[in-house]
Amino acid sequence: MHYFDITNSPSAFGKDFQKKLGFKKILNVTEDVEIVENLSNQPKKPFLIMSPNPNVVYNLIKSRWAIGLLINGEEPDQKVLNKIKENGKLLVLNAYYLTIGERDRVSKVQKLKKIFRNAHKGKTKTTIISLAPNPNYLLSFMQLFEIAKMITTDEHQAKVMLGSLGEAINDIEEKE
Amino acid sequence: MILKRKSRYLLAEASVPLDLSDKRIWDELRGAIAKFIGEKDYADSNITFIKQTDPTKFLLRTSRGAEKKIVLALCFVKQINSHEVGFYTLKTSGTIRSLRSLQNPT
Repeated sequence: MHYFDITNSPSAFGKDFQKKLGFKKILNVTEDVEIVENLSNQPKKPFLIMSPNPNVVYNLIKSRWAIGLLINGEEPDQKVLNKIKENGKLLVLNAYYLTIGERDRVSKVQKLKKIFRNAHKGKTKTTIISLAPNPNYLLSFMQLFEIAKMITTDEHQAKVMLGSLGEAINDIEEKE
Repeated sequence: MILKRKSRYLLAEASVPLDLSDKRIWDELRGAIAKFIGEKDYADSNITFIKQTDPTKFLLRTSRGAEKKIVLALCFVKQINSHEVGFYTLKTSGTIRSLRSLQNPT
């Protein structure tokens, strides 16, 4: 299985470096993917939706370019989760939300665990990305896997979680 | 009867050059790890700095079973010696030899 990560770094990372970290490819926001917050612009490349507004999510999630809904610890509505599932998209958890600071980390982990549990109950696929704004916050596959394990509390679920981003990106590339 | 302690070796890389043979820096790193995993797990992990293979890469030894906690703890260490830093765990193995392909010996 091929694993992918998404970062928010201004500089792209070399292929050797990406391979060394254990990823097939590290996608970069603005270069390879976009983060869309409203309906005014819909890019013609893969994008993550980041909006608290359910209407924006309902509209954007239908797009073939949508990877899924990016969340930072805010619990999505059950209807939103169902919409994500219906369209075969992902609920994308942000590891940077955990690594950014020590403060409230325990409650942040609990929030992500709860979000994962709710999504898993409703059979909505989830994934996790590093969304690192600079190389200091970048994570290797092994590290991202351990964070996923901490959230899912299960090795198999963690593997599924990391693999689902690759599947979503491959799906988008095939449709292209 | 002599009990053999089973170890795991961990190859990690820092995002910036870092001299872990400097005792102050190593103490700060293991302090940060201990803070994350807790004193009991830290004591059980038997974490030891083995060597620096290049300015950013280094080898650590831990007890078998504790390496996953160390991998996770390294995700959350973002400052050493008041400098911003990040750590990437590249590989863990039961022998140093199998990590050789990923390290650049000096």
